Amino acid sequence: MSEQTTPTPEMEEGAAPIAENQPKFVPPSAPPPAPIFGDDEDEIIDEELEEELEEEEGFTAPEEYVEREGSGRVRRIGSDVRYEEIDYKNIGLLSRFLDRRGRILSRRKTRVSAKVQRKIAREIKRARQLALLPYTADQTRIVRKRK
Amino acid sequence: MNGANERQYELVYILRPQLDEAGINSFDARLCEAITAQGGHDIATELWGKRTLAYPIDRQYEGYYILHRFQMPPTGTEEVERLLRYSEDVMRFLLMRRDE
Repeated sequence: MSEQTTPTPEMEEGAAPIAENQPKFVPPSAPPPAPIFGDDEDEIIDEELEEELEEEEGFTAPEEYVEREGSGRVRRIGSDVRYEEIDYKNIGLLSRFLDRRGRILSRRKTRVSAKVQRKIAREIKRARQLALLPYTADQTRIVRKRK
Repeated sequence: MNGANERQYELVYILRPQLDEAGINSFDARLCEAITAQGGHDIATELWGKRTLAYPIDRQYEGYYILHRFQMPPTGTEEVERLLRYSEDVMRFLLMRRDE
């Protein structure tokens, strides 16, 4: 329990680089970035994130597919996303579909439609080409090495 | 000649941050000239200005972003891309159709 309270300064540190990179650029056409859900919760679990993600990749427990509102980490990140506003320029929105290491979240996590997910993935990849989004978190911030 | 045979394009490119205002303007003028020479028109420009890159490119941490939207027949893309590719000041570019 004490371990979970101590990382507070470091979780802000981890969040800062992303925040620094983004607000500088808001294209006039882009809507304001929507609020990011459960961000702090993600920060807290950062330490176990890598392991958890690896587990989840091949993990198919039935309850993972059930949408849990409020509790649990399974929720629709993109529930308020309109298809037309998914654009490589709208990095505020796209970054919600990246995990802390810069990877595109799976559909199981985003829970958006296949069409939307395809578009998101496509636009994220375009944004990466233009260095608007990172390919990997290692490029922008120091990620703690796990042995 | 034009009309149905034209497409809406969107182009973003990143210039090296060392370039001064004059350099940026002169390159951009050259590019717009090339687009026009290829039958492009209605060029809209958005200057994003100097932005921090999400990752370093050629040891640069910043870049000057410029976006253009224009109409052009598809045959023109080759020449426009060639100009961007062979300009040393251009670190990255992305030319896309924006129809539909």
